[in-house]
Amino acid sequence: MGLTLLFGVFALGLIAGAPVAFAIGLAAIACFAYEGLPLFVAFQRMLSGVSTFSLLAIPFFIFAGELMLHGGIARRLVTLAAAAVGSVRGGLGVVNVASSMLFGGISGSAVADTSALGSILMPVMKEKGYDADYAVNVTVTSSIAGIVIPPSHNMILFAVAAGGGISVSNLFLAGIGPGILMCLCLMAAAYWVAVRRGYPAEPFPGWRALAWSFAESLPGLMTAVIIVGGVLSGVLTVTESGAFGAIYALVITGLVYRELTWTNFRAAVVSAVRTTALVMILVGCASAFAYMLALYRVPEQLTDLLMGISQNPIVILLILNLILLALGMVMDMAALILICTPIFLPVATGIGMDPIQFGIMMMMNLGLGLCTPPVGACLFVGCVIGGIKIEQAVRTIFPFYLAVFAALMLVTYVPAISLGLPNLLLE
Amino acid sequence: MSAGPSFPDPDAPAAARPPEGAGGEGVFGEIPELTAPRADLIAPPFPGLDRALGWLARACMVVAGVQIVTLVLLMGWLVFGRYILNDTPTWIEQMAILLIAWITFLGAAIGVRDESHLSIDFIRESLPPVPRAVLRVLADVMVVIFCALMSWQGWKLVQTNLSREIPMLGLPEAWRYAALVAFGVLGLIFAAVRLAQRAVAPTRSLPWD
Repeated sequence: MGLTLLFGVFALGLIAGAPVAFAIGLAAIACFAYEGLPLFVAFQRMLSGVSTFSLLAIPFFIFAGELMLHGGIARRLVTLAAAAVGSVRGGLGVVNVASSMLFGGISGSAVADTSALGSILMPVMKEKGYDADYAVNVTVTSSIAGIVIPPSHNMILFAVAAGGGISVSNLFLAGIGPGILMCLCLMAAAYWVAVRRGYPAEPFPGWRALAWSFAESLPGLMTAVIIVGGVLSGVLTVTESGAFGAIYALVITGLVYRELTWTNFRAAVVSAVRTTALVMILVGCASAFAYMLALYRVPEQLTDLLMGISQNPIVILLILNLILLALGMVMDMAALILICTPIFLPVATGIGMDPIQFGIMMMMNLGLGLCTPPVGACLFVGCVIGGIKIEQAVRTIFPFYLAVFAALMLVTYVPAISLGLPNLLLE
Repeated sequence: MSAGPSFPDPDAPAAARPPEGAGGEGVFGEIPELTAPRADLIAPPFPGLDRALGWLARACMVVAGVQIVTLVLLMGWLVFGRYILNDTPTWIEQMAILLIAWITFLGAAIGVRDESHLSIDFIRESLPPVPRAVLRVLADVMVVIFCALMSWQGWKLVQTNLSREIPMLGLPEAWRYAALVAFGVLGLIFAAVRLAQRAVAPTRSLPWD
């Protein structure tokens, strides 16, 4: 009965279109009341869920990402990618994926990636005779790299939702391989579609131009090196390296690139506050919700249920992936990480999967959800920038979905892709 | 740029910046409407009150913005102190946790006003006007209930924690819980006015729907 109440209130809120965070919070509060627990405990949990030191990295990553979005780093990375890989057939499609890979290594947010790179690359692509749907498809799907390639605040959310015990540096390391793999798959898809549609190649600008563009984007790329390097070397905690990265981004965009005006700075602060609050209020409400999930033994029940369907780990992993994909289509990423991790992680570890590998699989899977209708923040932003309807974009997006899905399956069933790097470096 | 290089010239002026209002507004922030403006759109009722609350939300944003910048600088100071001065300022950690609670709950209250919280509204918005209006009201009512409960329980927590101190800061624990009350009261005001504005013409659409 309590469980029905928990999911009933939650579902009611979702259908009514209430904020997901409050729907989760109200569902938890309703169950606290139903179980006769003192109500203030629910609110204490919401506050203590937010007041975690390691979560402080989230506002820092978001702030750093916003500064880079508004401060001219993205454009330099595009220039670098264009010089490096633009000369293949359908060059700008491949350039788009490569730029996402580079920018993803800095910003850690797929939507920021879409809007930063899309607004730079899409006009150029259209001018060169690429179709708008192709430009949108490539930009949107390749932005998943922002989540999978470290640093990524979603990985911190996952580590927290998993109840601690998962090292963020391991997660960061584990994301690199799958991120690159996914980008390679997407480049192949971009190339294949470009050849079929007869898109042009760009002239190679020469080694000097390549070297110059690399030198120019180096200060921006160093942001990633500082954040990730600080964590991996153990010199800085995740939180400290996030703050350091934000200060560094402030210095680079303000003093080196000199593109950070007061207006841009204010816009970055406002978006950082907004995004931080939206994610963190979800964290708080989800921690009260997770308390109830544990009380009602939801993970154990789900494990029993899935084990009843099949004992085969391959089948169970496929089912988990399909459930996550379906949820990802209708809900946003941060909420799903916080709700699904405590439910699904025990199932995955129960069949012998490493929690780190599960985390990366989930990042990629939910990232794909950001690119699918009916609810997909990246797809929406991409279509707005590309100036086309969602239906138009989705009609031709399947080669790109397929590429991401292929990478997702490889990451799900080949542990070495994600776990190889952390095992190698941390032995 | 037709004959020039295929990529934007890094020295070119901001020709390739995102168009106003599209994109640059943050991660979950404003995703502009793709469709034409709704046919049944009305201007928000009670314009004076609406404007006043807009200013209130902006004031909250200024406070939260100052807090987030302070937070970044404090953590920078922490690292500087630890590695350069060899003297870790231990109070910063507690201060940072207090700040993030305030940023979260103030920002969440602003989100109630801006309708920028993550929600799933494609089901509701695809319904005919009457059931759609029912669900829109229900969503606002749920926000009101949540905020009301938060203010009430938050206030109780403030009162029971007046004499307990946050370690290293010398401030009462009540400051932490005051963030809950701030969110509850502000959110309640914002959501209640939204409901009142809705009540004027329940089946029509308002700009934030």
